[in-house]
Amino acid sequence: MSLALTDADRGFRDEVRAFLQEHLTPDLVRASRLGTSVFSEPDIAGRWQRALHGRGWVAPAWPVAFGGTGWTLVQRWIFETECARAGAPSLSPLGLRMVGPVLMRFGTPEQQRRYLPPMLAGDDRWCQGYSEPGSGSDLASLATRARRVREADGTESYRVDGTKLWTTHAHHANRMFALVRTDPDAPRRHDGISFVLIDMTEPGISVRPIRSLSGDHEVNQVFFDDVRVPLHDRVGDEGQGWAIARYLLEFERGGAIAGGRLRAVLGSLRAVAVRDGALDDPDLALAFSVAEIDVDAFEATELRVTASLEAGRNPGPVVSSLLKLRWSELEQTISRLGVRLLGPDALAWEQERPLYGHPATVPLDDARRPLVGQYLNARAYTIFGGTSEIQREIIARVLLG
Amino acid sequence: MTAEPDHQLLRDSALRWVAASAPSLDGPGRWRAMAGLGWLAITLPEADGGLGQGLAEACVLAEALGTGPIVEPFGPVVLQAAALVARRGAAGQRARWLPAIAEGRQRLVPAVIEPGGHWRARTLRTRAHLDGADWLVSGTKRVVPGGDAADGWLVVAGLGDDGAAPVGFLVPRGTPGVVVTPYATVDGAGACALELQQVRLGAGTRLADLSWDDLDQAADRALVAACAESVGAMDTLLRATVDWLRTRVQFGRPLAANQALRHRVADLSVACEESRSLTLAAVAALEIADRAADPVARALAASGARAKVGLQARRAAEEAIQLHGGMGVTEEMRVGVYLKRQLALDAMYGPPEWHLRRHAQLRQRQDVAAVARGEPAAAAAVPGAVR
Repeated sequence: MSLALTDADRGFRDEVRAFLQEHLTPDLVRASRLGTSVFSEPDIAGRWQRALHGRGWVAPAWPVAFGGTGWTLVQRWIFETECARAGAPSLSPLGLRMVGPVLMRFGTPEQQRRYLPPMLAGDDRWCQGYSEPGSGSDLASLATRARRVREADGTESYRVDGTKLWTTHAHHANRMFALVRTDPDAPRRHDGISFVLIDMTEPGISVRPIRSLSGDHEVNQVFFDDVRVPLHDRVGDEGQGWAIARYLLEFERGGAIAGGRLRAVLGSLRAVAVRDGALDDPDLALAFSVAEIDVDAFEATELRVTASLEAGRNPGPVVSSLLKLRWSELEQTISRLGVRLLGPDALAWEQERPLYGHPATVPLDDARRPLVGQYLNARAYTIFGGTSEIQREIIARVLLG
Repeated sequence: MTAEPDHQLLRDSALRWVAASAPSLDGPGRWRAMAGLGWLAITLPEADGGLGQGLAEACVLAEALGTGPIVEPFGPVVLQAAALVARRGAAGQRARWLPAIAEGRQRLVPAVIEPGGHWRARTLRTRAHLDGADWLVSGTKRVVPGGDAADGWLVVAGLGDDGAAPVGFLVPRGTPGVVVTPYATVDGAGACALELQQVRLGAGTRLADLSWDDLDQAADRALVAACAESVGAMDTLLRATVDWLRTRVQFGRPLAANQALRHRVADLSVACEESRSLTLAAVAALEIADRAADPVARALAASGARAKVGLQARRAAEEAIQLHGGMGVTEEMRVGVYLKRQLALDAMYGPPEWHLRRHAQLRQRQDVAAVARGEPAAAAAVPGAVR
């Protein structure tokens, strides 16, 4: 395997760097680095998305026909890595990396025309209606019900009743993609599930905020009381929802290129540690080395996957679960290093979010203020998108049956 | 960036040989067969009767050896001793040793490690003094892997009274004053100790200009090959464990039905994939570092890889034994041989914990240098897979 970049790759990298130099303003970088939650705040991510949209770079993974870049996987890898190194905000994956690919694969031409352009422009903000109070890892037990009804105007639609949980950014979203039960009597419970698009401004929807232990408000519980969903907002066939959901989950778990971000975050922490002389502590120096080597291994795995996809080969069934598992564990390892680095300063707690929108109330500089919040927030990484236990089970099923 | 070139042919034939042919051969027979397949010539320059291939190809072979495991001294002979002769040897020394090594007729292994010493010691108690036109060499080498069956040793001594510079000698077996004490090794191979008492060596046996960095470079390449070997071992252990859990029935169901065991197998598989990735990245990083003459980047990549791969391989072997239950601790089941081989590799090249410390110390040196240059410390190169 040769992982050295070609001259053409280097030229592309210079182009990306020039763009970042011009458009990634210091306040965006500051806001991004002060972030404590999974996704950048919508105002920050939105500004960055508009800048990228102006250049046609919002959706590196999309086909050109839908407004993608037409980049090779290696170019995508370079782009993501350079953005991470420069400290760019992350765009919400809920539309671009999750429901977007689903619509391209399963959506009607009308759905694609209607939903993809505003997704690219950042005019639509999406959220995901999967988990429910009684349905976490056992997602297929979901109970939110969609009934077909004849409306007063003579059209047919679904009426949705039930509740969704852990809905990230539901309070910012104007659209939701959701799994609902359209046939409670299906012999196999998986066959009674459909995939629908819900307009969050419809009457009957209420959003209850959930504050997480990191102090962030990013997740919510969403309630549906007789909410109208037109039939044409169902994606795929009735009862095909589970197959679509699994397709989407593979993107959620394996679709990111995350090594560059891990390396960038770890590099920033190391800079702080060196400035403070903290690495004179040999235990901490060893812990940094462990994390750096782990990032090396993760990045090399991502590159192997990238290189094999490039050559038209399948990376294998284990890979998306493996990447989700290791990425989430590494986020936790690195954020724990951040807390170690703080030493006694880990006592201080910022109560307001987002940090970039509030003046410091604790005696810490910007490099240190988000570290405890980031550590606490990272506890969720091994839970969302399929817990680490579910990922291990997926890998074990391939090996052991 | 280019995709992994296909070593598929080489890989398949190597794996086939290890699985099908090697088991029926004794040690010398295996060595002859490896020579016949061209493996002992793989990284030697074509001018010296070699095949001129790189570390990547050597690692394909090492990975196959790991599946056996085949414990013949491929690393010490091919990647260390022969490579050092190819790098620093005079024409006569090359002609004397390299074709013979490539053809499997002679074995030369490095003799560096001393009692109480470690893997990359910079002061050696073995000392060499000029005596007229000859050299007089005295000292003890205790850990000489493959030394029992060697036809010669690349003995590394400290030069003169302070011993700060290394000096290397190609010492043929039978040289007067060299006492060889062979012993068996934990992995079923052999090694020896060497006692040198005022051994008189002609100027023609000295490798000119041998540096610590030459020795480190050879050792780092052998270290990465040890990682590749460990990946082959982990693959084999994973497959054996999967087979065992699927067939062994307890409490009326296969062991594979138990989630506590399933998740441990998943972790084994993850460790296997990550170790493979990291080894491939280290191979690439070493090639880049050598081209850039950057010994720190080379050492970081090699020690970083071994720190993780060595640890994962040892854990995989321990886990495989545990998951095989009582059968795991028998000689008959053969999972234990992979653990013994990891112990041997750790003893030969330094355990993962030692390499983690080397990595941390080198990174700190990079930080200091970056700060001295007025750069932010984090900009110091992390040994990434991509430059």
